[in-house]
Amino acid sequence: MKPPSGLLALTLHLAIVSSISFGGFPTVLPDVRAFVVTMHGWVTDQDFTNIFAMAQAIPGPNMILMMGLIGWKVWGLAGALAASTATFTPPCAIYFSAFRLMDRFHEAHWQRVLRSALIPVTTGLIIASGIVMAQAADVTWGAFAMTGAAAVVMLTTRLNPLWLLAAGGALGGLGLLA
Amino acid sequence: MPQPYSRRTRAGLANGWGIDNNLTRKLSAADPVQIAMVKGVAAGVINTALGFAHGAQLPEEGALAAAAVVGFLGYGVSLTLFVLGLRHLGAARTGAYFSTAPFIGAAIAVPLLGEPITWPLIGAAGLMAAGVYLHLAEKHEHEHVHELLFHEHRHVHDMHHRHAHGPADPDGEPHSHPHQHGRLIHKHPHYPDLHHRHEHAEVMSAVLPLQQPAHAPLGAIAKAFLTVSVFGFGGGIVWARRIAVEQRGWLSDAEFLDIVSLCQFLPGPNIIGIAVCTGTKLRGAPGALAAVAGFLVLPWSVGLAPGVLCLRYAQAPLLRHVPGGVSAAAAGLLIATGLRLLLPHRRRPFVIGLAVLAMVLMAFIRLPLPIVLLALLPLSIALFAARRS
Repeated sequence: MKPPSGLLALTLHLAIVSSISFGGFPTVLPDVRAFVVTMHGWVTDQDFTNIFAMAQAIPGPNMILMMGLIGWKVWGLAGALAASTATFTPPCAIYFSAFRLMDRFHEAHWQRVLRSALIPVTTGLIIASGIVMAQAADVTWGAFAMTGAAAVVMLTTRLNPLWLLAAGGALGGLGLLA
Repeated sequence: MPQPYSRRTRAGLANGWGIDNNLTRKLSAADPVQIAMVKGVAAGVINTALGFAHGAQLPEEGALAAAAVVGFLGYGVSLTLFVLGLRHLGAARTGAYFSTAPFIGAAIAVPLLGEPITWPLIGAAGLMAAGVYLHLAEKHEHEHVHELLFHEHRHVHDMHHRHAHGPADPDGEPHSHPHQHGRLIHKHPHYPDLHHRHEHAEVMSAVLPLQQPAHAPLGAIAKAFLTVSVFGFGGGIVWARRIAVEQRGWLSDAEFLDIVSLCQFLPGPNIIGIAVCTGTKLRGAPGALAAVAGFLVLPWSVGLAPGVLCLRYAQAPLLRHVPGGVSAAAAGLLIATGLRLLLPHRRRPFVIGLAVLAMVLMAFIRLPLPIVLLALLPLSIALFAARRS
């Protein structure tokens, strides 16, 4: 067990980096790694990589769980709770305040222009995140066809997307997408 | 750090700032760019003259240009936005929001410049957060009267500008000409802004809670975001749209897109942002808490156990990835969700063009998200503004 003042330092650090994690929490992961591995030596580099891989594999809020596991590794349940809370509370407060503010001026002229102007940028970025994900999966014709088929089925039917994910997992597991 | 001024001088300076703000509020109906220019020219000339009177020299050209850029942002742009704030929020609230600026600087100085985190800093940040929260939680709504008003400003023919045009009035929107507003009695949330300076006779009974739609029970909100959390590996947005828009009808596609757009600009995991905003839209603060609780509590508690077990027993490198086939399918779902949100705009070539540009910059040229947003948003705003007029 490490002294609790370290937990306070970790909590504060996570609260600060989560407040500036524009583009998602993974953007500040290198900083978190430097803080917990290099600077304080609370977890080893290998631990950090393992925790990352595990949090990615477990369904649910990956990054919040990952910070919780780092907290657990050093301070047990209290550490897990404190580290996770520090990771999601500041962004949630920011989202809440920003939404209330936007909602208040919903009919303002500047906001209508801004809202329309954001439509193409936001939709383009959502499609881009899909493409980035397809590039990160194995780049084979089979995987490419799976991505295309899932997109077409999703657009043209109201089938539960779980079936498509299951189909992808089954075909991949049988080696048919290689 | 030595304090250059006495307490009394600093109190005087702060009071002067407050009086300045209140006087500027009275001018806030005027063009904010003009106000910034007049204040800038007057203050600039006087301060430069004072500087020369004390024997100062003009700095190097590079430093001069840098100072001009800082002045443009820190004085020109800042003051213009400040005047807009005064117009819509009133002097006290604008001043309060404006004073959060040094705290943002202090918060950034901690990770960037290695400033130590001290107890007074934590205490001050807590007070600041509580103050900002109280401002945002304020919901002041009651029936009030707008008296007959005759004025001139830039406007479009929205619900408050239904007046007829004379032959001398300009075409195209937005445009500016003198026009009249009739006497109006209505009820909506408001601030003591330019148009809401009325007295409050019965203060307490006038403050009414926000009306909420009844068809979104807190339990249903929590359950919806539990589903988003558990199924959403790689693409929670697919599930958020499917449940909130298609299945429950809580949001329209346009409202959902507004929320996603807002979250893109803010720090943190965007999908939690979508949960918070959807919850807030449906049921206010309790809705936001329900959405976050649904999203986090069960998946976090259930996920912690296998995580802890693996941590204890796994010493070798763990390389478990989501199988490639699932990722490929999830990628297709994300692409489809983006296309579906774009569908209502398919007959507007410039919207499609901008979306393709955003996609290429992000997915193929791999620019960071903030750069893509900063590069494309001004272009998009200019195109939309040009098409309106």
